[in-house]
Amino acid sequence: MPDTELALIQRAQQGDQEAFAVLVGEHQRYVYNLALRVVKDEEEALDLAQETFVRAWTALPNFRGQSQFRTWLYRIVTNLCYNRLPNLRRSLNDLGDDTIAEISETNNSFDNPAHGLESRELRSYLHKAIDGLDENYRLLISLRYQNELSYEEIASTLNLPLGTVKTGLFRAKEKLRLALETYQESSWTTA
Amino acid sequence: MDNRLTPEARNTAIEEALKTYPLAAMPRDITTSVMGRIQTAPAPRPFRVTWSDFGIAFVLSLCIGVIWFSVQNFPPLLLAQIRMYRILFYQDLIVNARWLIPAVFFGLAAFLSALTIPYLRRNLQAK
Repeated sequence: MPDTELALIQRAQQGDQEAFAVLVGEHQRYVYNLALRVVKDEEEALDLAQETFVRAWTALPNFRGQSQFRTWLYRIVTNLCYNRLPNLRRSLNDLGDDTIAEISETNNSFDNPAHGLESRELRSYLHKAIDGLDENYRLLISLRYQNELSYEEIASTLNLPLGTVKTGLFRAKEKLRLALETYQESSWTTA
Repeated sequence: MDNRLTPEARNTAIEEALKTYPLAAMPRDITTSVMGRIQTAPAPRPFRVTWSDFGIAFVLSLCIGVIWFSVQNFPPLLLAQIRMYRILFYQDLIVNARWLIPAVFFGLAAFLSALTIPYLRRNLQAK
């Protein structure tokens, strides 16, 4: 946790609202984004983000700094999402924790200049496919790739076993792979 | 020409898409509305034991101590009488008011169930 953020948290814990406003400004986009990926409704996501910060303010004295402030906020917003979508919790638990080999997270860029347009199209198609995934997968993907949490942090945020988090992300990628195959089949047959 | 991606290229494309999945832009800044709501919310109170906590704890422990010492110093005859009346009362309950014990249990269960009503109503209203 950066020193300045720690100082802001300590000031907010003493009741300094200006310090808390700075924290809201810094984290609101990530909190809103996480809520939006789950509930898929702008107004509801804004409402959830506001509620998250109001709850964070009242619970701030209990924040002891064992976890990062942002992961603490994500825990609050996911709990609020559980309240809004009662099936979300169940669908995450139902993922199980089979030991599955992970798809390696490569750093190779797909942006080959020769395939520029094609890769842009493909990426846009995959982004739509991500939007079309079930809410539990969208939540996991958002925490992993947009909020950049480690598997352990996701497991702790969602209060799930580590294996379940890995299984969920693996299955989400499997679904994207299937979507990609379908896309390629259709574009190949029309070509 | 079949220019479909190899499995490795597919995985790379998926990883790339996941890493570039954009953060949604916020329709509006929520700082002002959050701060507005915070004005009405109770200010966070750091966890501290206050003098009133000490006072309440002292009075409670004093009461418990007084009761305990009183019971210890009751004359044995009085203690025996209390025990006897307790047994008689229990026997009387079992014989003449058999319905009372299940009624108390059902009442308690109904009361505990009723405590969940506000939560369930809030959930229903949220939907």
